[in-house]
Amino acid sequence: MPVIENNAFVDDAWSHLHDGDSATDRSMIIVPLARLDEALADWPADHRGLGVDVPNDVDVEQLTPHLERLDIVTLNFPGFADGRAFSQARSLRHTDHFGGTIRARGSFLPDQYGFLLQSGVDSFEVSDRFPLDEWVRHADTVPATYQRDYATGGLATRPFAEAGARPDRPHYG
Amino acid sequence: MNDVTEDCSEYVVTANEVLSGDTVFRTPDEKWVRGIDDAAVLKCEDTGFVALGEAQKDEHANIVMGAYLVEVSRESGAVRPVHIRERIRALGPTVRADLAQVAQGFSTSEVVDQ
Amino acid sequence: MNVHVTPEPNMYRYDEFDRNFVDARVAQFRDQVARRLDGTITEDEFKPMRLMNGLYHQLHAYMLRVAVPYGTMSSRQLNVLADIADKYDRGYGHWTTRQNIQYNWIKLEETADILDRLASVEMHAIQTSGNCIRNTTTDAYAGAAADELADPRPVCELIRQWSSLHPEFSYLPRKFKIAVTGSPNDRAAVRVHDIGLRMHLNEKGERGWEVLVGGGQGRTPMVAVTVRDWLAEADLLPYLTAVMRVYNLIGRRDNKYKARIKILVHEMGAEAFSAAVEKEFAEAPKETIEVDARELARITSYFAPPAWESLAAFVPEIEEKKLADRGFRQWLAANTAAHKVPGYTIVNASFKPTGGIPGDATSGQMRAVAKLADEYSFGEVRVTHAQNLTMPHVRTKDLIEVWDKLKELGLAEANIGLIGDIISCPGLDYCALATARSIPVAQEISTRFADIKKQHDVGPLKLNISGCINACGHHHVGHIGILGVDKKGKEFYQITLGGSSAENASIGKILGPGFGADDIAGAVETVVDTYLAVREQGEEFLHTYRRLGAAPFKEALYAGN
Repeated sequence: MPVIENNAFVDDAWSHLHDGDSATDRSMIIVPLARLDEALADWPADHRGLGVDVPNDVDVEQLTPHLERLDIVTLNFPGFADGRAFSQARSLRHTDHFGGTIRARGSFLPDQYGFLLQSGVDSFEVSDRFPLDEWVRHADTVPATYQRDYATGGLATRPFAEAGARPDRPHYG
Repeated sequence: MNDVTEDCSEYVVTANEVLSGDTVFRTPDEKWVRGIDDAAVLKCEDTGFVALGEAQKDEHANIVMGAYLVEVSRESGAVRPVHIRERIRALGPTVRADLAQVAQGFSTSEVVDQ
Repeated sequence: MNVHVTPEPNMYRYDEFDRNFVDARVAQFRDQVARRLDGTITEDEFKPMRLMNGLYHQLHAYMLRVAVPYGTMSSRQLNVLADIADKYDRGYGHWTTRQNIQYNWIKLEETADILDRLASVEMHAIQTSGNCIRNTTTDAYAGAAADELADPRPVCELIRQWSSLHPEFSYLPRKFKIAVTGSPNDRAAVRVHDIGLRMHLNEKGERGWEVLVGGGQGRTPMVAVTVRDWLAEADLLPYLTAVMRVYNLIGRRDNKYKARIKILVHEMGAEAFSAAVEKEFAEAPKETIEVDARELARITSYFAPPAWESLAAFVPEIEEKKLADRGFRQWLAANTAAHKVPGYTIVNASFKPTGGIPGDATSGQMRAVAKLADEYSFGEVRVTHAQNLTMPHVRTKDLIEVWDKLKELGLAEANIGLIGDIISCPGLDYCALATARSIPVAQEISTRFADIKKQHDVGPLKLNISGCINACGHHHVGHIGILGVDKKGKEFYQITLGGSSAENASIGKILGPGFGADDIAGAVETVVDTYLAVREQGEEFLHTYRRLGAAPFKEALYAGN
């Protein structure tokens, strides 16, 4: 599957661990959440290149103790209207200060690209249904946000009002 | 169903035009019109489903959406849906006679742009 | 030179930031429509996108719901709503219970043009549908009511901005509705909302908010529970964020009928839900989303009170007219409310004419009310959740003139809060989800109670009608509620009694077997006649029902069956 990072297709260095595979001595491997403990136990503490795939009905708080050792967390969209991963991403980034990659997988749409970026997702596993341009332009289709602390890239946010500022006069056309 | 010998219901194919949202019906020559009076009346569900399958090609072409079969009966010669929901959908709101489909002249053939 | 001056009411105004934001959303929607038409996205994918911008597809056509944020608009905006009705619809619109307006005959190909026109007067259709945070509603008398602690609209506007295109909360399990009241007398139905906010003042005079969660109507009506007695105003947005995050993550998505937050609160229990919210609230960094005092001050400054004149509260000619003219007296009693400033009165324009369609407004009526608001109410108009319009700031000494003009317009039916003031959803005449018609039932009941004297004798009575279980007509919280259902292809109507959306909120109880379309209005009349026979002196319908229960009404309706 093509992967988009920083608004460009990138070579995907990661692979998913399949049933029956051993996580030991592998690198750049994403393990299912159910096998995270096993992988962490097998791996030396300073070994890098481990990621975890998290279903969207899981409380990401359970990753908190392990985030230091994880380089990527993949979040899932079973359907584009199922928006749980937005909050999972936000929690990982904002509450847990996770500094690794957060990748979205599944059936999200280009129209959601901007919100995903703003929620903290920075890697996108996509199908070849839409060209790259179609994703990239949606980063700032609405180039402003009321959510100051979600703003990414060049999104505009409202400057704080000066103390005592008076309202503008009406601008009706 | 006085002129129908088979013991089955009659149907018309309906959908909504994507651009306008209007309720439309499928004619015998496979066009879409806004008035149910010009709809092709299909005897028995089997025939209906065949026509519906054809009509659904226009869904893929983004001309109409949500095509389905509506059961109809004849009332004084006119084709009218059996169920109240479909009657209102075909004829317009009962509380605004001025906005009824018939009042707007849609009972005569107005072929939807294709 | 006699130039018609359009006053600019004191309400929120877009700055460059807001304008760019709304313009960009319109352009985005235009682009989404183009991709729907060229097949880049499917109808299934387009549907949530159009819904999030207020565009439904109903029984006959597309329907566009335009936001009137917390029900406040200027006469200039109302005139544009009238223009849209004429140019893009069939000359009318419909006031909704979320203080919005919806148009029934919209074309997809024209929708983005409508949105452009709306944007030119600082209006939009953002999040008037879809599984996102909807238009925040409040007291239609906000900023004017004699009984309010403070104007709740600055906080409503803050919530509007915070919730608009929220990156995290735009794909929720289900729709999400917030209501705010600044008055202890709840005219905003906060107990039947996903989140209700009630303003309180502490002993130091500081504002804080009681947070209620998990109310709602629909299939499973519930009254909200208080999860916080007092929330400091600075914590409002972080706390709302915590509620939304908990709901977004663990609200049910397996069944759309169990996806509202009320089900989550109910299934978890209020305490466990509250604990989950408090945990999230405590853990999530909040310094950047707390209510910035500068920001709230900026918003609040737009809602500065109008330039009140110093007026006498007592106006002799009004008092004389009251004594001399029963019609005026009735109108004054029902259709006006006490204003916080002496010499001013809150005036309602009733969009519930006898036998008419509740909440429908022609473009002519819209323009006429806009003109009246210019002349008599600082150019300001409100949409009420009961589907009427309010002119919030009318000089008491102008009431006779205003009454005369409203009468000419057919908007002076003296029935606000009475049985003729029926809340009704569009029902099967327009709605794709409805199972029965609502409007004809409302029309017949209001015709039976055409005698205004009788309505006044009956007293405060909220009659609400829904055409299906989704309860858009708020039947669960009607003192008398009517629910239309489909029974073997026939319309059938159930009666509920004892609902209320006020501070003493309750969900109505089904009285017994339902009635056919020909019998429902008569059944309602029997219920009202029974009430008249058994009430105590001065006792309102709801209180009689609460005192006696359903028994006398059942007896009157079903005895002998």
